[in-house]
Amino acid sequence: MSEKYKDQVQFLLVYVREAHATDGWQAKANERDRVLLAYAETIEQKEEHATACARKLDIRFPVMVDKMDNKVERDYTGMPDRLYLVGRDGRIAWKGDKGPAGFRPPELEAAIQKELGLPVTIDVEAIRRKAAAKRAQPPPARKPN
Amino acid sequence: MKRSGMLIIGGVAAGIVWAQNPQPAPPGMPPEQRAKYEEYVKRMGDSRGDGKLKAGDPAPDFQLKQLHSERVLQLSQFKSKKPVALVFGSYT
Repeated sequence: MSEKYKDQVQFLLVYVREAHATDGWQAKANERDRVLLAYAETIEQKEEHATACARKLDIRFPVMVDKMDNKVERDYTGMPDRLYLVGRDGRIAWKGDKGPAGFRPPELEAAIQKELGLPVTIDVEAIRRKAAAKRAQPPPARKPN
Repeated sequence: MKRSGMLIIGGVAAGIVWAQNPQPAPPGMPPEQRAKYEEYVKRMGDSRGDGKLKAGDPAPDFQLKQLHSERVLQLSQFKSKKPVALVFGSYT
């Protein structure tokens, strides 16, 4: 999407604190994928994590690491992940829901299309209904130990 | 009197616990993960949740250095030029 709209929209990634640090709330999926990072204690460590992330995910737009005071992260309630579109007028044009469940890039694309005055080709309501249905499902049964 | 005093103290204590931890772990979460989740919620504080920012509000300005570059980017530099898609996240 960032490639598709790169001439019309500035994409920026703000790297925030680890959601599933090894010394915090470790996630099984990260253990499986060998993404094992402890909480960064210095800005240099945070930059290393951001570098690894940008490389792995092939991020082609500017990455900015939030400072150790986490101010930008707090101002935008950016944990664990979230999307926004800021309009040309400097105001919030669209705010995505809290990730990971609320991190839905197609909704951002719809907001971009609207902001640029293009025909909106994405059915946001259908995406939201599908996400709500998924949330309402009972969690999968746990395997006995 | 003694009993009602105890009740008040108990109520205040429960209120303090709730205020410090307004989001207990979901009921289905395995017990071994529960404490870690609750510690995570506490650590992240105001960075989680829905926040107060909403569509139509002025976007809080910030200035951060671009990774692997000497360039410093400020959100407001794009005002009147281009919309900005902000992606918040981490590797984990």
